[in-house]
Amino acid sequence: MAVQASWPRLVRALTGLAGAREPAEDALQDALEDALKPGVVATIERADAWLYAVAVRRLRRSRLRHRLELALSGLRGASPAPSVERVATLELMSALSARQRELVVARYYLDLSYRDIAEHFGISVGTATATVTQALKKIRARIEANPEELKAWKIGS
Amino acid sequence: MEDRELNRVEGELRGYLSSQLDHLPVRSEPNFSPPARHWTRAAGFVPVTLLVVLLAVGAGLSLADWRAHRTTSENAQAAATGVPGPLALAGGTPSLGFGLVSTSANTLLVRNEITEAVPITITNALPQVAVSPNGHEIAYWLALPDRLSASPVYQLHHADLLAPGSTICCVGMLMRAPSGEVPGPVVWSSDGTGLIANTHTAPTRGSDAGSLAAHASWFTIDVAGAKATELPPGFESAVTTVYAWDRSRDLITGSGISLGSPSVAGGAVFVTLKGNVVQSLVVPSGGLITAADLYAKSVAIAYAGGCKGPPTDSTLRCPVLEIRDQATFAIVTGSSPVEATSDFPDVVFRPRSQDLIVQLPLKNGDARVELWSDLGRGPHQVLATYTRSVGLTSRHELMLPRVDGSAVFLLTFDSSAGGRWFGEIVSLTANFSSRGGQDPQRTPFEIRTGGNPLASVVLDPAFARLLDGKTVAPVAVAPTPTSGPAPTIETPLVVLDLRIGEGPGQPGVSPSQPGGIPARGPTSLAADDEWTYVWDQAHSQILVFGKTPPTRAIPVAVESTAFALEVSGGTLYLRGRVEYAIDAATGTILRTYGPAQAGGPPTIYPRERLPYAGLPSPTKGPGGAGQVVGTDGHGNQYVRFVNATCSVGAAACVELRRVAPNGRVLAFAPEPIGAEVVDYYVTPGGAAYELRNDRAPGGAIAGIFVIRLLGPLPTATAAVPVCPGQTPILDVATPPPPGDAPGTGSPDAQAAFRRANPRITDFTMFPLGSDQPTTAPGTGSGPVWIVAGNSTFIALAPGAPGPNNWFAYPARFMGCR
Repeated sequence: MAVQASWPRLVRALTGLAGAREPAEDALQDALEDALKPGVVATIERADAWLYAVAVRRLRRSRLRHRLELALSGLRGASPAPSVERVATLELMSALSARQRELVVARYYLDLSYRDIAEHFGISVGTATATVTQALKKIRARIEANPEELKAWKIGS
Repeated sequence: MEDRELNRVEGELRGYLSSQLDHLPVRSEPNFSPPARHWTRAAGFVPVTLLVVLLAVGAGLSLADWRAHRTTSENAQAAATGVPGPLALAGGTPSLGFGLVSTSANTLLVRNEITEAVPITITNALPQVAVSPNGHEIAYWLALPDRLSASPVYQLHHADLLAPGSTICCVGMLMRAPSGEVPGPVVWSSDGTGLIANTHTAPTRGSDAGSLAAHASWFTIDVAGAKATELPPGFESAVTTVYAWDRSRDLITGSGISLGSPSVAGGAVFVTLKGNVVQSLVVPSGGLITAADLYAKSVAIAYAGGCKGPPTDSTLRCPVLEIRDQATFAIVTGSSPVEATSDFPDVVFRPRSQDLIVQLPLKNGDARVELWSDLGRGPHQVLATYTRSVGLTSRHELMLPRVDGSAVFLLTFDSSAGGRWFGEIVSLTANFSSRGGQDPQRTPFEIRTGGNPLASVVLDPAFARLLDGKTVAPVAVAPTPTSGPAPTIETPLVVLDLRIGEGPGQPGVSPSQPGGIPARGPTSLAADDEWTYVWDQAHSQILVFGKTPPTRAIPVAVESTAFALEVSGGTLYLRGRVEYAIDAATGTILRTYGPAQAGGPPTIYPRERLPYAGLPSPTKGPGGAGQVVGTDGHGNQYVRFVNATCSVGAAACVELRRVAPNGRVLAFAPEPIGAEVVDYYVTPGGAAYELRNDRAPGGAIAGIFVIRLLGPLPTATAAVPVCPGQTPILDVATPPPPGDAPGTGSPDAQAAFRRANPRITDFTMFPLGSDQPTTAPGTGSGPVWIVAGNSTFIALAPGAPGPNNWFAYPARFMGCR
């Protein structure tokens, strides 16, 4: 039940990172399958944090998978599949590194504690805190440089 | 101080993330069933170096799978002479090229799949409508008042929806119903040249109401000659439903209730009429004829049998469908076992094929729709699964395939709020899939104009020619096209369907002005790999669309009459009396330029941008007239070509062609009809788009469409000649002797390539023997390999070192040795 309750929020968080819904859903479903493997589920204390961290790793690998699928579609002689639906999100965070984005979304969208983030991403609490703080400074600088940007990005949301 | 400032940023960030993410649709749910990976997904974790091995294994598996079946779908369809095979002219999204015939209050409505407007209305029509195999001819009954009688006169009519001026009524009459009889169903012959029509006496007494007609008449009608012939009484008395008429085999098939032989009295029979011989064959007990193709090839019989039996064993697998030959009623393929069902499955034949679309009502109340290829002998692909919802059954009441066999409408009727049909379109072709090719493409669909959908029709003449089997014969604009492979045909895809309005993401219409300036909607578009941009001049903003909402609007302070939108490297360009460079993120005007001065550059646009409205008239060439509307980064031109053989108006028979620098037509897409073109846009990568106005019946602009006519060119990095430990074999098109003279070339490889191919702007250079691109202009001594789309070149400095010794030639990588 905990997974079902947190599923939509996890999908949205991962969609924000991936820029598309389908790879996000794929990564999350893969993470769930990993969790259901014998002996794994008993070790999970906080399901949403665990699924998020594992799905983020899946997303990182998806670049290789995407290359493979492109090659397969070409060799099959089929038209390339329509590209996945992209969503325009998180432009405000475009200047952040991938790791910073992952942790910022974990902290401020999924409301994970620094301890949860550190534990599930395999880093120290200090590293998690520092990474997020650096990201906040970058975002602050961007907002200060163009205060209207935040407002402009909210059009249509 | 800084902590407080960061706390403020934290608060804004939470709000920003919430505003950006909370509204995103989530269509999936966690699946707790044991993982059943698709092999391509598993392969995502295999190093790319194993790709070739995987492909070989995959091909082997596919071959074994193919051998396990007696025939493939394609083979079966080829063997079944007269079954043309499905097409893929559209996918699992609404298409401008197709429409639906609906019935509402004694009126037939023919509407486009996308637009709500009804272009063709036929009044006084009954709901018995048949669409011919070519998808654009319909047969229908009219009920017309009779001055001499209180009863109406019933006439069977025939019309071609694509004929000139086809807002049709009351033309093409084929026959009148006999006096005292009312119309029944109509069936087209498999070759589209004839019809079988039913009339019958109407039971009027209470106890007879709803029973079988007291007398049924069946007629064959030759459409060309409008000649009707009544079928033999033995057939008429035995048949209540006709499935097919194959004129080449003189075979008519149907079914009914046996009233004759005591052994089968009251039982269901399958009836054939060949020549004048009527044959009735008993349908096995427990079986129900659920579908038959119109080619008189196959008929599907459903068995509830054990599947509907004791509801104790929900895992019971049991046969549900049996396929028999329509001519002999012999079993063609045995039953296909599926899991237990709660009722008979629903079955329709995929048009132009021997594939089945099967809806299985499962015991838990859910329903699953599957595509069974080759009469069920081939793979069974799950198209959709539905869970019962409150007030509505999970089972779809209507499975209506698109006439070309490319998709199926799965619709449910909701009787609340005046009633509406809603559901989705699901692609039946592998070309239109999502999730990397695993799932079929699906799009929600709703009929908001009322009426009950009856059949799918084709509305685009170019598509109709393909359905007719008359292949489009593209004619190159260049006078001497070179030989080569046939051009590929691409299917237009609607990227955006925007209604005019004042809401977020909605474009506006500028009012008409004195001097005859008409009202104008959006006037230009641009696109890149991620975004589509629409110049909404009425609101002085550029609308930016991703593949899904949200939409972004960029207000820009430029002349309202600006046009020729372009995007490149995060900068947008518009052209009015002066040219504007605009930051695509903020709308800030980065630069204005113009009018151009003598000696200065003519434009700040990064490449040529042709506005459609300002183009010269089409130039007549072989077979028609062509008009260049854009150029990609590989030097290909994009030509709007009007076929000279078409006579049904300028909107018909128009193609957009991709023409190589040597004049060969590489690809083309038939342009949809029904809306006026406002602008074209061609990306450097070769994707071609068009912007169209969608006008309401009164002529006002009601919306716009952005349609992708041609997809981007595939990248050709595989053609880089890298042969570790071996020598690459190259085919270089050097000029004949004496060849290029040293000192007459260019100073470096890049300059040589640009000089030889001035229209190509998008290319990548590789030092020969390396697959790592280089940005250096190539002033060393080694040759440079250049890839531009599907074309490859080599730049050489054949002479002694010195200035202007570089030349570039077309070249092909033939392999390694």
